[in-house]
Amino acid sequence: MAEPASGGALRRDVTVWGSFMWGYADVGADIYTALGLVAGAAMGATPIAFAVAGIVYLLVGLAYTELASSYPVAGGGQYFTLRGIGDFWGFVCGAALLLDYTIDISLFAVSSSGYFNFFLPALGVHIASFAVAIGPFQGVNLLWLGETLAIIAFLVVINVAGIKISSRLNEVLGVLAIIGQVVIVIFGFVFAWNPHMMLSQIEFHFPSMHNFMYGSSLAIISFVGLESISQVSQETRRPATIVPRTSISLVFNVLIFALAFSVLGMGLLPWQVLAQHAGDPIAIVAQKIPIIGAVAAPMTALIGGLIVLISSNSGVMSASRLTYSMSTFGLLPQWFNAVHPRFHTPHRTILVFSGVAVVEAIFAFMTSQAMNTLGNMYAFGATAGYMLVFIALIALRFKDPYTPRPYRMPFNFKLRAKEGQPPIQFPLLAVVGFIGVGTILFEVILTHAIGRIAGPAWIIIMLVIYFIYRSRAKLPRFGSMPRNWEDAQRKVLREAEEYELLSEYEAALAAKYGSQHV
Amino acid sequence: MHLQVGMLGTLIAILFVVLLTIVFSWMFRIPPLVPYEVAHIRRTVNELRTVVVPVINSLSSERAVELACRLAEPQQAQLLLVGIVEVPLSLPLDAGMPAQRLRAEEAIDVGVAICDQHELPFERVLIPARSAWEGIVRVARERSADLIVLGLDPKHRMPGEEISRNVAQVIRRVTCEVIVDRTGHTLAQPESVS
Repeated sequence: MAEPASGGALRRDVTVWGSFMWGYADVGADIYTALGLVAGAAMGATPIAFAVAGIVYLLVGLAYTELASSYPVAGGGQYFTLRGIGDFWGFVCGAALLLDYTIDISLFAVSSSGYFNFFLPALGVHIASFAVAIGPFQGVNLLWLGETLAIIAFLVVINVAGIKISSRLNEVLGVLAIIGQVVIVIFGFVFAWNPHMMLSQIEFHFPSMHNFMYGSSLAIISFVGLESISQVSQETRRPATIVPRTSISLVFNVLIFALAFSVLGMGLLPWQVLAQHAGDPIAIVAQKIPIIGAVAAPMTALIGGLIVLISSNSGVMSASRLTYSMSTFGLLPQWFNAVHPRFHTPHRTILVFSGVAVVEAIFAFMTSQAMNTLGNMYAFGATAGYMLVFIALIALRFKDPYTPRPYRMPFNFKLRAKEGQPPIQFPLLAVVGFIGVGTILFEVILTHAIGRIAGPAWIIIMLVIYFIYRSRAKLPRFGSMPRNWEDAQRKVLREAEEYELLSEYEAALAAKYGSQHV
Repeated sequence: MHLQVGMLGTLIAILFVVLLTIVFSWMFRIPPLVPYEVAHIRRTVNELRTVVVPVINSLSSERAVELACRLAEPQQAQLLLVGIVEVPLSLPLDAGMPAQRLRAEEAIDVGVAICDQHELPFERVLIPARSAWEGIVRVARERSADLIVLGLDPKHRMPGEEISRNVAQVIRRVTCEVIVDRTGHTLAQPESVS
């Protein structure tokens, strides 16, 4: 039985702040993109839509925290699902998350150009004037599309050439973004926020049930990206100690910011204005604040443009990391893992999945509501992947009660186990989370005209590739390859310097196999 | 420009800052790294589930029960308070020996009182044996004990040795951990005064 690769050669140099910023660069940027989209759908009930999605996100965050701290390896949701419910579902989860990463690239490239477009009016250029009709497609904005494709091309070049966007730059921008957001929220609430305006919007502009469902399912995109912390947990120092802290902090930070901005936005501007500025909503909010507005708006646009650019870049990197993990576990052909002879980077993965992102971007611009279309598909990939992660968490509580869990989702129901086995802690909140994410997936399928077709179509195409590869490689198609998870887990904990957990794990295994522990 | 400060908005802003501060300060409070050796040793002690303490009517024995309780307390291990009725070879093993049995019961009662102070699970074990060490070894083996705590009265040690014959035999014959507590003179003082 082979020991699954843990990829242990990666150096662990990501600190607590670095781990937080990895997640923040991905999730923290989401509100810059989501606010306008959600306002366009949920109208006056935008804060409520964010709150509903936020509750589900909180549960997803707690699930990821438990899994990433217990299994600190690259691969994220795909790895947890593979380990919990087998190769086939591990692949389905990986495919759903891969869809999200490709959309991550295109959506944030669109959003990044949207924030840079904030400066165009000062140059006498109006972005709306570049919308043209191409055959049956109306309102295709050629300038914005061109900018988006240029950004993706730029990201492909730097990633294939192995030029790192310095993690220091990443952290500095993150700090600037956080400071900028804090300043906007404080000044906005103290000097400009009008509670009556917000209440009247909720009262008189409450959306239809269909629109609210659409809005709340779109709001989930402002919380997507927690995967990044799991992806980088393999490089994090003492991940079992640090990851729960950074994950939970990120979950609450993003939730606080998302709720703060949606409440602030609705008390400053009519929802229609936020919806019209789907490309740069936070800059428009900043512009409305007295005293600092004149400076804060361009600063926010600049920081917003850069932070979502980094988020787009994290999509390129995460897609290639995930593909690497999937091929290592025999879910995708090794062809994807080939390293460029000169640059030593996984160029095929980068090119293939960035190519997919280009196709998605072009397709999205053809619909005249590029960001909305991409948001549709983003929500499908995330919710489908998260549902499987919840199932994996429950399955792993039964299949692997031996692995120490530095953090456990709260509210567990103790079940009697077989003799010699530790008691099973059944996670009630995981069931609630599963139902919550399932409800949002249902909303996506019901209300997202594009997401309900493009999302499943992507999974089917990926499954065809999976079956062809597994048949050719003579690997089980629905079953799983035999793997020695126990040795892999020992190795991971030892490399992570999580000695207390290693010792606890060894004692649990010794009890399992009936040997003396002292 | 006329600026107006909103009361509710200010409260929300304060709440926002407080929440962020709590989240960040919690995030940065990282517990220190525990080296492997330390973690392993802590784990082995934490894994003690069954502790055997032989009891007789003596200060050293009572102190051994107290020490065992403190070791068992964090993980709520079970204590086996073992009273042994030593039956001479001239009598069958099931001979009544009421006087010795009563003394052993009294010693166990004292042990139970100490266990109660610590709210620990315990079990009374009263067995006849040809010698004390034989009884201790038998209980430790049958109950898969993780640890035996022995109180050693200095006056019972072997000539020229620091330990008694019973202690020497127990150490030689069991595979589990054994802790021997030799009672010091200063500790013995209050009893002798009373």
